[in-house]
Amino acid sequence: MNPGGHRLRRTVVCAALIAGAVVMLGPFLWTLATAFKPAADVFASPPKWIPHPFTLQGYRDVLALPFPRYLLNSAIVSISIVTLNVVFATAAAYAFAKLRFPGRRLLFFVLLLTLMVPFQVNLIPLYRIMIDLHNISPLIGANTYFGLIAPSAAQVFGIFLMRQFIASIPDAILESARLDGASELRILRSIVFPIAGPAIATLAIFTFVTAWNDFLWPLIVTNTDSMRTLPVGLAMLSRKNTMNWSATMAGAVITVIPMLAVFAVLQRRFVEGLTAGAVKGTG
Amino acid sequence: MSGERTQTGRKRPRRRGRFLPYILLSPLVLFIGALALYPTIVTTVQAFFTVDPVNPPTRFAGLANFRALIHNPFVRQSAVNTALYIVVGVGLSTLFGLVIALVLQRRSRWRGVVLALVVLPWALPGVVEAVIWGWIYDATFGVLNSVLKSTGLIGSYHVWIGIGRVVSIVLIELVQVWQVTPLAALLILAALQSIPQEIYEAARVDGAGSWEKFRRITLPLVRPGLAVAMVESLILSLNVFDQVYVLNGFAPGGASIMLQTYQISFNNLNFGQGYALSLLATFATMLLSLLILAVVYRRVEF
Repeated sequence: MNPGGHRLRRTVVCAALIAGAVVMLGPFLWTLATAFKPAADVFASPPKWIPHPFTLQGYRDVLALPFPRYLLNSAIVSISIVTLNVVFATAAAYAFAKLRFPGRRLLFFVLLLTLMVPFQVNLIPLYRIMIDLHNISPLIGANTYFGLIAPSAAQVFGIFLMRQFIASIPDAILESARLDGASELRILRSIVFPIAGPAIATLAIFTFVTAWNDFLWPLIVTNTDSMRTLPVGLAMLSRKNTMNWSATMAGAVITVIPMLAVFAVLQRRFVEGLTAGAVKGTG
Repeated sequence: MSGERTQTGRKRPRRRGRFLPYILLSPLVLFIGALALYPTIVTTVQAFFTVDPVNPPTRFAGLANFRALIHNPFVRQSAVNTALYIVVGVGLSTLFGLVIALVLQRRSRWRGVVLALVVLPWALPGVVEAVIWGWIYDATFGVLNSVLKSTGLIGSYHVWIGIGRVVSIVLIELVQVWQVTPLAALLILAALQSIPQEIYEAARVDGAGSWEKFRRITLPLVRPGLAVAMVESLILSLNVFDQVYVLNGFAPGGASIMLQTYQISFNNLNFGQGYALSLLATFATMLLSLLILAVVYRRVEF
C-alpha cells in the first residue's frame, strides 16, 4: 500500500461524500431559499441562491390559505395513528409473546396473511366502507378524522416488531411480578412498556413517517379543506398555483418542518425504523 | 395451540386473566378484520362483478372486467409506463444504494452526519419532494435548464415534463429514486457489514486488488441485501403515485398503473374494474418479487 494511493482514495471518497450530500441536501436548501424570495426574484435567471431582499410574503400567502388547518389536521391524524398503533401493537405483541391461549397460532397466522396484502388492494373497499359509515353518521366515515385515522390505526407490521422485542424479556421477571400479585395489565404497564421503550420508539417513528407523508388515502377520503392534511393541501396548491412558487415553497417548508424537527431529535431511530420498516414494505 | 389452561408451577390465573389475551387482541383484531381482511376479500370477489354505484345492482361478470382492462388503450399505456418506472427505479436506486453503502462502509468521522443526510429524503413526504423537483424541472425558471444551458449542454430552455414520454417518466422516477435510495443504501450496508473482514484479509494476502475483491467477494456476498433492496424498490415503483400526480397529473403520457386505478375507481366510479386492476397490480408485484429473489438472492452463510 503506497501512501499516495491511500491519499487519492481518501480524496475520492471525500469528494463522493460531498457530492452525495449536495445532491441529497441541495434541493432542500433551494426550497428554503425560494420560500424567502420576493416573487420577482423567484424567476431570476441565473437563479439566486441567497434570498435578497429577504421576504416572508410566501409564508403570508400560504397562511392566508387553509395551511394552518392542514397542519392541525396532519398533527391530529399522525399523533392519533402513532398512539393507537403503539398501544394496540404492544398489547397484542405481549399476548402473542408471553401468554398462552387457545387460537393463538391461528390468529397469528391470519394476521401474517394480511401483511402480504398491499394497502392498494384495500383502497376502494375502504373508501366505500367510509362512504357507508358517513351515511350512518356524519361524525365517522368519509371526510372525518375517523376516516383518516381508522385504516392505519392498527398495523400488523408493528406486532411483529414488538413481538420479537417482548419475547426477549426474560420470563423470570414476569413470573416474579406475578408471584408478587401483579395483574397482567399491571405487568404490561409497569414492566413491558418501560423495557420495550426502544422498540416502541422505532415503531412510533416509522408509523409517524408513514402517517405524516401519506398522500393517497387522505386524497381519497377527504373532500373539503377543513379535513385535508398537509401533503394533500400542498399537492392541490402546487397543481393550481403554477405562478406563485414562493408560496408553494413556503407550503413545502411548512409541510416538512415538523418532520425535520422529529428527525433532528431522533435521527438514530430513523435509521432503525427504515430497516425495520423494510420488512413490511412501505407504500 | 396448547390445550392446557394453566402452566405448571404457576397459580391458576384468576377468571379475568383467562380472557385477558383476547381483550388485549380485540382492538387490533377488530380493526384488521374490518379494515384490512374484509376489504381484501371484497376486492378479490368483486373483481369478478360489475360494480357501478351509478348503475346498480352489482352483478356477476366473470372475467369481463379483466377483458375490458386489457382492451383499454390507456391501461395498456400505463402498464408500459409502469414498466419503465420500474426499470429506472429499481436500476438506479440499487446502483446508487450500492455506491452509497460502499462509501458509508468505511469508518470515518463524518459517517454519522452523512448517514443522517442520506436518510433524510426517505423521511420526507413524496409530495414535497415532487413539488421541489417540479420547481427544479420548471421549463422557464428551473435550475435544471439554467445549469444545462450555462454548461453548454443544451442551447435553449426545454419543457421537461409532459412532452417526451420517456424523458418525463425518467425525470419523474428520479424523484422517487431520490426517496428510495436511502432505503436501498441501508439494506445493502447491513449486508456489507455482515461480511467478515477475514475474507478480505485473506484475499489481500493472496494479492487481490480492490476491483478483484469487489467482484469476487463483495458482490457475491452482498446479494441477499441487493435482493431485498430491489424488491423494496420494485414495490414502490410499481405503485408510484404521489410523484406522478404532482408532476404530471393525469396526462396519459406518464400515468402509472396506480394512477390509472385511481382514475378508473374514483373519477369514473367503475369500481369493478378498479378492483380487477388492483388485483392485477398485486399479482404483478408478487411475480416480479419472486423473479428478483430467484435471480438475485443467494443464501449466504459465514
